[in-house]
Amino acid sequence: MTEINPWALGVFIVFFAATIVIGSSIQLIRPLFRGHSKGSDAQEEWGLGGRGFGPWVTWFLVGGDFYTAYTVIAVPALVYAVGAYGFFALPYTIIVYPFIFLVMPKLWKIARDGGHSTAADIVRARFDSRTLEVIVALTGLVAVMPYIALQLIGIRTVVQSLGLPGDLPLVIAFLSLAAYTWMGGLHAPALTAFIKDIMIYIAVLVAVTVIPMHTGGYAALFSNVAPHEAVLKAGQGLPYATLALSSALAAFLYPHTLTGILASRSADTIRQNAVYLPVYTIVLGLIAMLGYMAHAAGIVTTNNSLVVPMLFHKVFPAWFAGFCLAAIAVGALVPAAVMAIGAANLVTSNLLPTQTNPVMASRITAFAVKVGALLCVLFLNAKFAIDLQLLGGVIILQTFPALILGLTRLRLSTASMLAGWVVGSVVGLGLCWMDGLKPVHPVNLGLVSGNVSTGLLSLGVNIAVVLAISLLWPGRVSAPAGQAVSGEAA
Amino acid sequence: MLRHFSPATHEKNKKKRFFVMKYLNLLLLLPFVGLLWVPLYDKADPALLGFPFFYWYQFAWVPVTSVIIWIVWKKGNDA
Repeated sequence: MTEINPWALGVFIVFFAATIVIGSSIQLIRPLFRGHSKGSDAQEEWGLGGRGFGPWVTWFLVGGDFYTAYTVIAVPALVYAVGAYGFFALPYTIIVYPFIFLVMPKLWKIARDGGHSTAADIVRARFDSRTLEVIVALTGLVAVMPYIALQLIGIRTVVQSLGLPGDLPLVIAFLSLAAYTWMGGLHAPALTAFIKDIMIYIAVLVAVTVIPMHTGGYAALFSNVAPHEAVLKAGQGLPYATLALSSALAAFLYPHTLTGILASRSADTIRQNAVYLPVYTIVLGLIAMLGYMAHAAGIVTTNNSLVVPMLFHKVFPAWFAGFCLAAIAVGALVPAAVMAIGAANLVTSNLLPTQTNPVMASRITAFAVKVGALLCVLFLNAKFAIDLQLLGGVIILQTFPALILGLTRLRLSTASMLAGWVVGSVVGLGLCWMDGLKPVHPVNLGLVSGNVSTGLLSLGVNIAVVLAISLLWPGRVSAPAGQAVSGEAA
Repeated sequence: MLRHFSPATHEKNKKKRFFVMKYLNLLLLLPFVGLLWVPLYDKADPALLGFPFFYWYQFAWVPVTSVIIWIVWKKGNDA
């Protein structure tokens, strides 16, 4: 593991560097293809790609940004460690699509009509409340930071597996990410998402065909694990289902995923993508299989996040291992850039006073966000980033009522939203804290007893508070949302 | 799209479409039921191509979900 293989490292550097260079120079290349600017302002261009991404670009961008490199490392690592339970990512990334299909075109329409670029913008317009706007923006910011840190950890993991020691790889990863976002804005990840996805697809498809050939086919894969381990253990069913549901509800509340959605050209682009994006879920399921393949290939490690890099090094020739690791590293770059841009959009349009040069403010913010993520990884440990990401998942769910229930014609009041957010967050974070930072909490309600996703529990409490208060003191019906709904039916 | 209809037909179509859409949208609940009711598929048999039931059942839901969304999208628009 520690000696450097020149072939692996060489191939890795070529692909990684090429992506960075292409992404950074996108603003120079673009005018060659599109002779004219569409006249959207510079901030919308940098932060939302001018709201002009068609079905293909959206497919690559949202896919590349939702299925992160951290997923490629963490899902097989989880399956390697706990078996079938780690597969909850599969139902999660399936049921998210009916949800996207129903909800996101409505959000997109409201955002386009109102010129909104973030969740907090939409919430401010719906509830006419600066406090709620700031809360939603801060929640998004806090939730997305550890996510960026995880992407940097992903890059560090693969670079370390190539034999480069210490923090140097991390600093390189950080500098490349910074250059890339600064120059290209959302166009950089949109373009390099193509490269990322094609590389990941090649790596995964080769892996899932070649590795079982080495280890005796898929049947052998499962006969290696005892039959009872191939399915869920007793008591894992409820956490499996509730984690899948809460992850699916939370997935598109994050600034990065929502940025990808809002940047699309039309509501139908989103609907079309809800049909075709599940292709990625098949790939994700195959990636999860790598966890079993590692067992079959005789990989033994206590550091689970090294499972995939070790597997690649073991079964592939050096140059192809280098290619696969570059795919993962590029796969971290794309989402990390969109995350930083989503965070920057929140800060410039919702937290700071109006800027004279919003693009520069966004660039600086995106940079600051990444410095924060870097410091988090350098001076706290990876465990901390993972725990923080768990807590981020819990609190981002607390913005669900304001953003998603706000689309309905229920007479929800601003006060109820604020109260629901506070109670939900306190309950969620409190339970996580008491359970020693686990994502599930034991519940016993007679009929239902077992572990339930903490995020889902706290969201339930949040919604109960929102509905109760809104019932006692109803708010106004949202005019813009109401119009959008009737406009949809006409 | 419907501008050339008389207001009455328009109203009728709108109503019909509303019902069709409402009815079709229920299809979107199927993936939730099929995947969140875990006891339904938490077993090893019958295996398919070496994959225990637990895995291939969940994989199978991916194309099924795509097709369901496609139907709701297209029929919801055309009806």
